Amino acid sequence: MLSLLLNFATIGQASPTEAQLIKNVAPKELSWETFETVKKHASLTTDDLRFQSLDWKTTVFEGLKYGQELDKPVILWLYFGDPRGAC
Amino acid sequence: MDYNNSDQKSKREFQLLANVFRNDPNGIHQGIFVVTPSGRWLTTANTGWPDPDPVAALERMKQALAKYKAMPKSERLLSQPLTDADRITWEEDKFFKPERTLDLRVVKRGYAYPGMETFDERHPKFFGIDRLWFKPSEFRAYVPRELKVGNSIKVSGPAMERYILMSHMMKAQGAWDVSHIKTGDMTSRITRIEGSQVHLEIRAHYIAKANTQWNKASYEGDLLGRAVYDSAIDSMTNFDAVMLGTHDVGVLVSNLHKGDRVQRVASSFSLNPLTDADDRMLPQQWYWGYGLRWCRTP
Repeated sequence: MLSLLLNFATIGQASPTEAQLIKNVAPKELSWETFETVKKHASLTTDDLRFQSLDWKTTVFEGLKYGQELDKPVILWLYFGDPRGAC
Repeated sequence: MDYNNSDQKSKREFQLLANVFRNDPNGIHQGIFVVTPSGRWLTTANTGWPDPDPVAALERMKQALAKYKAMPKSERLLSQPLTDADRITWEEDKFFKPERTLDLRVVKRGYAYPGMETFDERHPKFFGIDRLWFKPSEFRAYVPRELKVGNSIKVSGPAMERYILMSHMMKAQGAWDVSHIKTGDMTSRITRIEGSQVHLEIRAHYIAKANTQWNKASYEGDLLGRAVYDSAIDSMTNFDAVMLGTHDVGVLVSNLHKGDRVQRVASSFSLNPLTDADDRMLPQQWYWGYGLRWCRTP
């Protein structure tokens, strides 16, 4: 369960690399010649990392406590399972 | 929600959250919400499905912020701040990373496939991130017994299996078992030795097929990577590997999939930089894939 102090700085940005990611074609085989191409496709883009540039706390408790300290509202992201994968 | 199953509902952490949802017939439930530190609901910020609407979400957050600023301090903040005694304890608090564990950041992304839609998380715009851990008794499987250039070792056990068992080779998660790995042919070879630094090249070919109530998927693919083992400190000091393969979900599930069953997927594995919240979270499968016994027996 993630929580975050309310911050508007990075919300609403379109991903400029999305079109490129969709165009990428997988190499036929994995070799040292294709290693970097495959790695690049499976690497975090600038847009992917923008989400993580926010000061996320990984528990609701930490978020509420921090919000109290700073007198700021808190974004609670509640979910079943894990935010990094499927439910 | 784990909160609904907690046996510590008398703790203030639970009571605060229950207060947020006191007027909601669904009780504590998933979503993105803006709340006060005192446990008052300000807005629900998740808008748009399956593609989020960031403009609408931003507008709601701005309204929530305005509402917050208009509230008296006695309403927006707790009179008695939370202390550690108020915190609910979870099973995962007992799980930890054993000393000298090889801690890898896993990033995976699929390639385009026929009929894909953003409803389905296999869409290439979405990445998956996780951690992959090998404790010393496991990563030593990559190191040939005699440290001599050209020597190799066939890798078996968790150092070979975990890539599949933790679903690191595919988007989303699957319920994989060791018996589903039909071929797991992994070799590690010493390419260079510089002092105590043993340079390794790791190659593997996998064929996996599940046929259970929960998983009908199959996978075929390869892993290729380089690693450095420091024999002086018995630690892996570098690791850089990728996987490339074909994942077939087996059966299309209406609330998960859109388009073709089959997709090519790329995954990368590198030393975890521990730079953000994702990097610091426990491996997703810490409970079913690793378990408390795992971390207590390095």
